[in-house]
Amino acid sequence: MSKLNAYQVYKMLPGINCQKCGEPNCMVFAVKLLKGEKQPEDCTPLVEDEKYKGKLQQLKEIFSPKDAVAETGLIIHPEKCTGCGNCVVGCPAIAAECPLIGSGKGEVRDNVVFRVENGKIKVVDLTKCRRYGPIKTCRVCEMYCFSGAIELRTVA
Amino acid sequence: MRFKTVCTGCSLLCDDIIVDLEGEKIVSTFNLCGHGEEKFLRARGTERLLKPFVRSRDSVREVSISEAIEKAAEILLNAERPVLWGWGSSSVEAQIAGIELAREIGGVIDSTGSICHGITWLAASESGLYTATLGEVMSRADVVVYWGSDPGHSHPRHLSRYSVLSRGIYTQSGYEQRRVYVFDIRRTRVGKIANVLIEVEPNKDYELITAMRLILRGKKLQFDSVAGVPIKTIEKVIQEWKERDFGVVFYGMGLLASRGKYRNLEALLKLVWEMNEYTSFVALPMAGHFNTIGFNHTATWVTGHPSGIDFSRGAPYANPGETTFVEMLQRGEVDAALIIGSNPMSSFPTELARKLSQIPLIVVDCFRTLTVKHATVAIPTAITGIEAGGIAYRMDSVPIILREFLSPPESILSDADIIRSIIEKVKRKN
Repeated sequence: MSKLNAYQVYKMLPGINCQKCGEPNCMVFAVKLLKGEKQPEDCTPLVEDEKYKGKLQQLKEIFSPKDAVAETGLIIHPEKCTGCGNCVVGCPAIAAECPLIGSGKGEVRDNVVFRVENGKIKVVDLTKCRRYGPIKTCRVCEMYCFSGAIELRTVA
Repeated sequence: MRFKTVCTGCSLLCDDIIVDLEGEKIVSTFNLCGHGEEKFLRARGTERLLKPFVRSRDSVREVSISEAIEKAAEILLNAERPVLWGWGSSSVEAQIAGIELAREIGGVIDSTGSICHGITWLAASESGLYTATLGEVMSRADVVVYWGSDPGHSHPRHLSRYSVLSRGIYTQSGYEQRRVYVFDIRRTRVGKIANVLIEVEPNKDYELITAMRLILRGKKLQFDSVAGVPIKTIEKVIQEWKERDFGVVFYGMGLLASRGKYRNLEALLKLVWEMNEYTSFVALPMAGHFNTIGFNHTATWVTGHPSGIDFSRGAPYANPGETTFVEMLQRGEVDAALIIGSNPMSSFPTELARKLSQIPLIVVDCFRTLTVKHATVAIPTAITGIEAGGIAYRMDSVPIILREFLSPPESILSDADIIRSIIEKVKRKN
């Protein structure tokens, strides 16, 4: 996927600039697709029109859900974790999803990056991590980890 | 069954703990740090003290609870100078009963706070105490200072629950809005995430605080550095604090146990007081046991003194150094002691531990600690906050209601009930 450029992705799109996806044209959509901000299903003609079925299949294969661990570079060492919850409360993605957790109050949710369970940090849904999306520079959880239990490998 | 409860792992008393129970077994816990998790797991662990025993010469005999209570009452009544010590891990109800017991037997009651954060009140009586609740800290504080305390080890959820990372009413950006200052002798865990880490030379906190007070008053110092800290750094820190809206100093044993003891805190509280001319500044203790602060409050509103209260003269009398347990033990004054929810045998210096092992000891505890092994009478108790309810004071002096969610092992009473039973026996014998 990394070898693909925006023009190659553009060639797989309908190219009719219908703007139904909310973007000005198909080229912008192709760029956003590459950045991970859009999914192939966001293109309405691609899904609705039978003649683009092959192209949709091809795009889905290319932009299939990514391996979240490899994508985010997040590695947890549970043996070092003290369960302080700094990563959970500090996480901007969790705070946006659930302001109560962001204010420090613990809550049990399944749609968050991680939570503290049995005195240790546990990954719940890594696809919610900002690093899974476009913000590869986010390192808040690692920065505020007391014990070095969270390690973020640099990803391309 | 899902149960919401309060953790009694430290004096932070986190009230957002969720426990999944299957009958009497804890299946999983949520939001609990390592400390709390350990405490919750030990409730059903193998270290529990389950049977009361009485030691006579070299033999140890298992007895019933009532027999152990009878023996405890006998020891306390026969003693000339009994001391009731511990109370940091007991509910307020048990502490009130303890004070009544001390009054009844004409003994001394003292808490673990007298060698820990209890000296806060000693310093506060000299210089006053500017304080706030942790809720206010969460909502307002934009300067967070840790002086001689490392929540990374002692209170793991301190930063995420109340101080640095949590987002409050006026601190919606959380950590981006706050500056963290750490004053310690080494790079501690919290030092790793501090904006400014100031490494103070050991035992030189008083000098540093005095220099800070002078700089705050606009005086020019004739040195390049104080306590290993360059004057320029101190000036910068003071200037930054003055420009901020709300500052909080969390002081720990690093400050209170180094040279100068409570005088260090007195100077720090005066600095906090002087900072209030420019901005809002408060100081809060990082107490250890979950109800250490509670004993000081309870004792103050029951007897008028925060710790080390002597009832031998009829009326309550307190003089730190004279009626506090450690000093009394050092002088060889104590001839019987009731230790509740504390393990002095492992935490006291060897000389004091030896003296402690030579007097009749009544130990009320839920675990088989080293002190229990030296006990003349050992009485098991239910764990407060897990198997028994009650009230405990958080580190910011806010009372929190504890609820039980497990039933205690068979025939085991809560610490408040045990003390009340001893009072009954003492009253009957008197």
